Amino acid sequence: METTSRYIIFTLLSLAGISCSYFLCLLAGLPVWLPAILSCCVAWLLFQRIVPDKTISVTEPKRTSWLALGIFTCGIAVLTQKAITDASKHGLWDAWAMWNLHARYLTSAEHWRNMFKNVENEHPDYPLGLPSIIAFFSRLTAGASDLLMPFIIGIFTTIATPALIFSEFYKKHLPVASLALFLFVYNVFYIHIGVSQYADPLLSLFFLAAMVCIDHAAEHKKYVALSAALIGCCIWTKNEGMILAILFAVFYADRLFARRYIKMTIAGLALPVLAYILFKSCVTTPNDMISGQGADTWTKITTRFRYQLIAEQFRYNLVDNFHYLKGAFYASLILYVLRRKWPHRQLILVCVCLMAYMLIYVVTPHDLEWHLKTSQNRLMLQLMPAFVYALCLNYSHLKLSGPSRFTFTRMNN
Amino acid sequence: MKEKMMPLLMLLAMIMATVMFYNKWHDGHDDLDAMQQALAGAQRYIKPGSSMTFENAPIKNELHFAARYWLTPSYLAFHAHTFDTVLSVYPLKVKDSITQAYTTANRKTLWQYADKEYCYMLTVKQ
Repeated sequence: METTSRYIIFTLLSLAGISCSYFLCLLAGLPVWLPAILSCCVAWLLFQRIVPDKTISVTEPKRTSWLALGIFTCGIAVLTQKAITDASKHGLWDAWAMWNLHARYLTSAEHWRNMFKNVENEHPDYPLGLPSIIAFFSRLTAGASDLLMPFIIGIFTTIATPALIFSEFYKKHLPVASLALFLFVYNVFYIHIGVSQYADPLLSLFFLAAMVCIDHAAEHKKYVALSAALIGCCIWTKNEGMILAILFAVFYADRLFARRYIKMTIAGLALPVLAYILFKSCVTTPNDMISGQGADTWTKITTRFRYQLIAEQFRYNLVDNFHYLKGAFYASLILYVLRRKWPHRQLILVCVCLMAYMLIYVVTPHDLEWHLKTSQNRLMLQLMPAFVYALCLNYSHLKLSGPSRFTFTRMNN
Repeated sequence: MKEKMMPLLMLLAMIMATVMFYNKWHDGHDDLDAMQQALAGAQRYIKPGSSMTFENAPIKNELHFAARYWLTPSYLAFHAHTFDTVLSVYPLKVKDSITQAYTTANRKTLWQYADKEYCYMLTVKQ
């Protein structure tokens, strides 16, 4: 795995470690210095395990070119500039009304459980991955970081997502890596949500990073543990993360649950899943999507109009926010046909996750049109980085071997 | 060396973004800050973690959300008259009639404030 990728994954898991340890200490009524020490220990251990590259390469490792570095610098500079222009002070509606609100509750060691009383126009059952990080730093700095911390996490995820994809591909295929980077840089919606202070970008980065790690499982078994930990973080970040985690586990069952890796998987999942289970045991309010199911669920499933509405809104969001992905996806499918290969597992996984997301809308207890308009684009964004990564996997095998001739190399996966 | 340039560039970008964000917003105000400014005076009457009722008319969820945000970790029940303490937010034009209604309802006003748009009142049952 590339150095940049390892640094990104280290930072992500350190944040997750802070989040879990802070919540567990809050739950146990322990003082804030304890999670601070615990987090430092976790971060140190993670640094030792993740950052030094101990894998032995049989071939001469490729060097980073100045061109790649230049492209990366330009991409990140433009992205950052756009992000600052777009960032609002307290984040978008859901950010301050839910995520940052939860963070504010979590800063109170005595009264944080008051959060669960907020059942009117609120979702106290949302996992506390993101709020716990913000609350930890808020308490550590006595409220001085209240304004900055949500933004810092937002800007980190906004930058780290394309950086992780670029880092994974720039040595294999610089044009593909650069294209992927600039897809993010010129996606207004991605940047807008990236600095919105929502939990969706963080979830999408966890999912992408889990996918990247599992693809490196052959290099070292630690990547299986890291992948499991990252998928556990998806669960601890948003309720939808559970769907992503289950589907990920199904698709990568051969690696995650292989006899030689099972201990790694359990070790990776342990902390975020423990935090999630304990959190859910505190919540008295059931999830609105589950509690809203009743006798009319079957009627909803068999109503054709609901599927049409979901598809219509999906097309609208695709054209409005992700128009370039449609073409890239079809071109990718043509490539698979030409090569007479099945699509990569990663691409199928993302498509199945997308279908699962869309099926949830079929049975939503809320007004379907309102639900689609307020959340479908964000759900699509959660999968967009992993989708771009899966497309890059396909395109990175495309080699320009002459002035005007394409050849296809054999795929490893 | 070039390998480590990328994480360093990311760090640099993040630091620059944070500094620019801070410069942009630490003196700047948005709608949510108006509510914070309004409720600043009420906070000395509200014990952290206490429960109260929030009411407004015409009903606007946004106001409840904003008040709840700034008064954490207190609990603000939305139009549920289960608590003695009530935080009311009304448009300025109805201020007098609301004050009159509270007087006749035997409620004591602990604090009140008015900004350009709303009047805010914290009352308690006598």
